[in-house]
Amino acid sequence: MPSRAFELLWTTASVPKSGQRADENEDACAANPTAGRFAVADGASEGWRSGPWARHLATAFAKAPPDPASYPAWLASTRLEFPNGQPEALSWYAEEKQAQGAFATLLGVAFRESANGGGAAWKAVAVGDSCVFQVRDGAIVTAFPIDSPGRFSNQPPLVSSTGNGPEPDWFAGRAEIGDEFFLLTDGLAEWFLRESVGGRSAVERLNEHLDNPAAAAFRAWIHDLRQSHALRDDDSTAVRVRLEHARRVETPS
Amino acid sequence: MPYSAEITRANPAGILILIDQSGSMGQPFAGQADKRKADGVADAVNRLIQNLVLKSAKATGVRDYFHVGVIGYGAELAAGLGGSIPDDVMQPISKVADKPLRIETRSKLVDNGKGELVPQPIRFPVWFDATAAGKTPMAGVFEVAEQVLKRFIKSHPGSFPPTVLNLTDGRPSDANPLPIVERVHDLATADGNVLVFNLLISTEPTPPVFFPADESKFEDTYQKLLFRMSSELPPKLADAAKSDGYKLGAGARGLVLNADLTSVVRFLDIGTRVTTGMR
Repeated sequence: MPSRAFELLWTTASVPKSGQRADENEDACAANPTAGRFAVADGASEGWRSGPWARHLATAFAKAPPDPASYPAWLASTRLEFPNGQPEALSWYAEEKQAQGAFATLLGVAFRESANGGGAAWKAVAVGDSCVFQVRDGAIVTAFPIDSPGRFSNQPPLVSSTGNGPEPDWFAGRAEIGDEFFLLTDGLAEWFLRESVGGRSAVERLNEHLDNPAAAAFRAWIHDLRQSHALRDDDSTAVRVRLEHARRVETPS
Repeated sequence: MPYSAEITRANPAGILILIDQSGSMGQPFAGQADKRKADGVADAVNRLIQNLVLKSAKATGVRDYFHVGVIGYGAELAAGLGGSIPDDVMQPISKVADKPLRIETRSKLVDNGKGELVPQPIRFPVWFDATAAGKTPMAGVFEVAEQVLKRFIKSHPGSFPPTVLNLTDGRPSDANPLPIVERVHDLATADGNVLVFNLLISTEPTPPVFFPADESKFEDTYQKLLFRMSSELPPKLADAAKSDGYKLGAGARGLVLNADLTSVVRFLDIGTRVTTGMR
């Protein structure tokens, strides 16, 4: 791996919807910081094994991200590698539900060294309403694939584990040292866009809680947002990636 | 904002279906001689329950996003999913899922990949069997519904307001149901008032009327009564109807008149579209 001018520092936090255990959380995130890849996926409540499918999708992106030309083949092989559920005798609904498959959003971001020097080039793929926000000096400079809080719906496009799904959206951009990227599942993404208009910056508040080393603190904050109806009661996941100068490692010549 | 509560296991959505089982339901749909009204309605209700189970079924078990109840009214008033009225009419969907009366094998037409439709066997769980005898005690069934809903609301005060779907082919034989239905309209959770939607199956092959916003064009006083018995569609359901291609006036009611079999299915579908907000 050639040395890069930048380093990617990342952190994540996730809280399941009220009354659910951590293992019932159907949001997933995956990271491969060495290769510069990060993904979140949000398993649909109605799907059969949406949580495992979301984890599988996010992990597949972190392992080997697709580009627009390779996406259909990438999805086909990702589906093939998704382990089948239990083969034993199933109830009538388990049988039908398993045939319908699992569904999840996907938001993947990949960084690479910019040929122009200094910063990074980045690209993103999105199916559904999980979002990435590029923030510079506390202000949102890129919002993808949704840029307005009014555009979230209850029926986002989803990647299916069985059938052909919708075409993804793609984005490519440049990043500078000091830029922050927030990958958020829909509830938090909607909150982030809404709260970024005037008032105390959403970036500042999200950073404050992501930086709090006590795991319970993030959970408590999400709980408070739900109680005040600022955030809808859904699985909520955030990943933050910061571009920093690479620490120089002296190598003997 | 009312009618915006998320549907969760802590705040499940209540759906109560009232089914006319009077003798006339044993007659075929107008213009569809091969299908008895009672059978068409039973099929549509069984399919609705099946869809609610499928929405809630996870590999880890069926989640109680919904509580469902059915009350038949005809020769008698009876809880359609087992249990007795009014105490356990509403059943959590996980309990319903595992207790169909039987699972039939039916066939459905599917594309074989060559553009041809071929029959394929499907499993069709049946919870509710068609019955057609006696009169139409509609005022009586709403009195029971009132008790059932009070009980549900007491246990789930923060839920999306329960929805009542009344399917009938005739006029009440016992009393004017409007005063009782108005009491039902007044019941509320923290998220809004109970929703009452009505569907009148046609006796003649006339085109159905979906979600009218104005009763002044109705010549029939019974149609006006049903209009007044029906709640305004909340935004979530009005949007669902619009996205299905219905043109809605301001204040459109959850009412379908001159319904044929297809309208029964669409009424149940749109009337329960609250279910898209599950979390």
